[in-house]
Amino acid sequence: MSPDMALVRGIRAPDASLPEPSDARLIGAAKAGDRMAFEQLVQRHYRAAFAVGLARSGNRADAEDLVHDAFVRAAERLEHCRHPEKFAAWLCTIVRNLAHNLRTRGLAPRTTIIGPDMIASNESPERDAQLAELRDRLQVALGELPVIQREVVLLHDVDGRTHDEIALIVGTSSGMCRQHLFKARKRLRALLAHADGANPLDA
Amino acid sequence: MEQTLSMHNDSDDQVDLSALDPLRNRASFEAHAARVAGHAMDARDRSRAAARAEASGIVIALMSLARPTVLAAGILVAIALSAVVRSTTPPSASTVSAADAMGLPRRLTDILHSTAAPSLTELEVALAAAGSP
Repeated sequence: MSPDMALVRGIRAPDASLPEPSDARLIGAAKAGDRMAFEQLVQRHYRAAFAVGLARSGNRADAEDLVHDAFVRAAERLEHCRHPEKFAAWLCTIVRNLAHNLRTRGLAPRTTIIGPDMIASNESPERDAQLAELRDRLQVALGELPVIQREVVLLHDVDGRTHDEIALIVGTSSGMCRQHLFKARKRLRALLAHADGANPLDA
Repeated sequence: MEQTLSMHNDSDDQVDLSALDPLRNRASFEAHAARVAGHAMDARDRSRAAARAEASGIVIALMSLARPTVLAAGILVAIALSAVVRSTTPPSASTVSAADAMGLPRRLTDILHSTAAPSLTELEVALAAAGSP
């Protein structure tokens, strides 16, 4: 992962000259009770978990709750993570299972939380409204895609994961990931072009 | 900002989904991540404490059962061992040889078992004993 991508992914780097600790190391520290280590894991993998949660639930509020509960469950079961280097894939599996429970059994997330987007931003109310409208349009368009395409396009274009990383998370090959991404983008472009009105943020 | 929020990225054919990025508001995300991690580690602490309490509860339950159970088990073991010892002890009765059963005198049987040739005197004494009522 490039340093730029590390910053994009929200990894806190107290000293840029030091290499980022691996997931395995952070998990080991978290097992020993190091809260900061787990917080780093949250910062590092929040986007991926959110991408899967959004792909599965279809709305941001449920995705935030799913991600929160997934991290809680992951912390409770860190000893069950047999391959710490594949923590992201393990975490995303937890998100999927929780989303499945939510959908099929009506099991509500254990906690309803206030996500980062629900906190007042520094932008103007008009800007916030435009952003909310854009999000709605994107979510509607994403809802038209198959789940696998949603996961791939969100993991790639929001989280910035590579095809190899996405392949590990969604359980397919890198080549299939490329295909899913191509199809998802093509369909999204068509859907958004077909939508009524111009991009509100371009106004 | 305009560029990041535009729906289409001109440099590539990808759709700009940055509006869905949960890390858009950096400061609020960091606070949120800290809160999520705090909840998660609190849950971990509670889960481990509950597991320890459950394990110690099992030990206490076993300990409370220990005294009468061990006593009963001890009695059963003692009874079983005594039965085993009795059944495996060889009979204390002495063995009786066929020569004794037939009434042959000990001196005669000794001569028969011996590899050395008996003297005439020994034979006479042995046979005299056999002939006596």
